[in-house]
Amino acid sequence: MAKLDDVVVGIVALAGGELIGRIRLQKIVYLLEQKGLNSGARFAYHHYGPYAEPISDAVTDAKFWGRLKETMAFRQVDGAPFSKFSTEEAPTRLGAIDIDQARPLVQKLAGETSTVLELAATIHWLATQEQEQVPDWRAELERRKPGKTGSGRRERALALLKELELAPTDA
Amino acid sequence: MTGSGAGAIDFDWLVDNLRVVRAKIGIGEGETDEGEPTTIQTFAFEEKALQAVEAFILARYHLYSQVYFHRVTRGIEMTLSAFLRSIAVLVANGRAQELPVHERNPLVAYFAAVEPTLALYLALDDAVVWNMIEACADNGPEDVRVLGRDIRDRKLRKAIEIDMVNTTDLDRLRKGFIDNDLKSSIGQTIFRDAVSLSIYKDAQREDIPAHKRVFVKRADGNVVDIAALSKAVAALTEDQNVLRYYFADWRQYDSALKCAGETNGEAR
Repeated sequence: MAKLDDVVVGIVALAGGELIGRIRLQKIVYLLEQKGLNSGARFAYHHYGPYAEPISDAVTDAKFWGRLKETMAFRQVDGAPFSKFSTEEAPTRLGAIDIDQARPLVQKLAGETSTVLELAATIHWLATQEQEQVPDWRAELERRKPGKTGSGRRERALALLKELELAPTDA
Repeated sequence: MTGSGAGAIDFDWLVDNLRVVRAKIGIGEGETDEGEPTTIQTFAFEEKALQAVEAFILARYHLYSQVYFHRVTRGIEMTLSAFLRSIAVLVANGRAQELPVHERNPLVAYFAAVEPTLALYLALDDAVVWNMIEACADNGPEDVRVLGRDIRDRKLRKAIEIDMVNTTDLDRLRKGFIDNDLKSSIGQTIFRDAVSLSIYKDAQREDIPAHKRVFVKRADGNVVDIAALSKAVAALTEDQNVLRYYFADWRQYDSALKCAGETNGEAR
């Protein structure tokens, strides 16, 4: 099982040394976990979709040991703060995923908006998690993510899941 | 009540300047919005009250750091959590009869339930917990007896705090030693307490939902997050994590100090 510190630093590194947003980081780990990352992180559903507290703890630890830097910036439209991560490390692998496979995966995911990642992770969660017992993931998605699924974002999230071979069978 | 002088706010001025407004809320993370902003009805403060609002947020931050997250307070909370967890484990392992309380004790019934009901939850109160502590402090099985006695007799655990914000080499030495050399004792004789002390952050530390944000209505009518106007609030939006290790064994505590070349031979 991979050390989560290595995973979060590795993701930022493979994204080009910089990554914007904690939501983005959490959802990248979640989606990579479905592709065999084997991070050991256990996810639960929270406000922005599947979330694992140990990932936040791993960010804290990585910052403590000087492996990761976090700075705060602010959204122009309303001043909401968000995180910017950076690292100078160069990983040789990412969890159980070989580096040559991990790099294009991370870059694909890092290139998506955090809302699309949030929707993709949520769709996958609703469609696959037994504890959710959701009869219709589409309706549940609309209920949980009002205002986020429009302007083609839901379709982009589904397309991303299909590219990753993680789309629901009834998508 | 705590004796702390922290937390003074200008309540009247804040209320006088509180308005109901319509605010644009963006989505996603990044400097530019990821879609069309939505408009919500929310509270905002007039810009002339900015300093009072800033003082309010800072006061709340200081209260958390000086009172709610005080090392003694958290130490007792860690011990109490461990005590309740030990009770739960005993009950789950079919050893409830070893506890020196009646079989219908509300705490035992709560932990014994596969899915506790609301009625079982409502039966719990301070008196139930204190009764269990007092009973176990003298007559409980060993693991719960030690914890119960420590709580009853105010035997506080020694704490080592690691500065996660302005980290020194000493902090790195100690954390490395505790996390590696004393790893097997964490959760047993060493309690690890990590909390996120943030001036302005959702509990999940991902983003701040709109209903938890503090807005300021500017003179030109625009409504913005206070973090965009106040350098003090902006500076503290990043997590100011608090990390402490609480030691039940003074020898382990001493070794954690000695690892950095210091020693404290004080016996527990």
